[in-house]
Amino acid sequence: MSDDVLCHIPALRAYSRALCRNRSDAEDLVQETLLRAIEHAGSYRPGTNMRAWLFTIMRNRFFTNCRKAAREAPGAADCASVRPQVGPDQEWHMMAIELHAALQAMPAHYREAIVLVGALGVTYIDAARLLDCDIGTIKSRVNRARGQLRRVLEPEI
Amino acid sequence: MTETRDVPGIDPELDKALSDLLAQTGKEAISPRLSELAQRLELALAGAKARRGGSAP
Repeated sequence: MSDDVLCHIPALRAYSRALCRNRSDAEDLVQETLLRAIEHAGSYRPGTNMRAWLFTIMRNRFFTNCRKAAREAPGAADCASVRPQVGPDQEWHMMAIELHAALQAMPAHYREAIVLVGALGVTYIDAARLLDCDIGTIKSRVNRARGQLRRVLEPEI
Repeated sequence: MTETRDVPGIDPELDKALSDLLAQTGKEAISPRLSELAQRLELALAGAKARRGGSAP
């Protein structure tokens, strides 16, 4: 895995869009992730998986933001982990609208798992570490997400 | 847990659709701000590595 930071930006964008409700928030999260990574550059061990390190920072930052938003506006938490998102402001024009709709409609923990493993090629082991759960849980989430996507997209694929 | 598959690629067409997500973000322009942050991070990582190397016995 490369230590060239720029080459990780596409994956960071894809993962941030799995976490956030809209593209603008996702782009902000990518920037915040890089800023946090700069602050904590000393915690990275050269030769280890930089992308996984950045994903971990991103996920931690995302949940920190969620907690902060919940404190500042109780009842209005904008956290992907607490509600599925089918917001009208989704701007993903990345590919078939059906895939986006299906991803956004599924529970956040399924979406996060399928995007990491299915779209970003993260191994089950690394995904389990990142999401702080056991590998069986990851496999289950990925398979359930696949099932949901397959049902929605069956006419197209 | 009954799921034992280790290889996610059993649905090639679904996998392709998913991998297109990454391909698409790869086509998007990287803003000057992101480029700057990426550069700053590389410098910070290089500095951390040098400090680590310098402090080694």
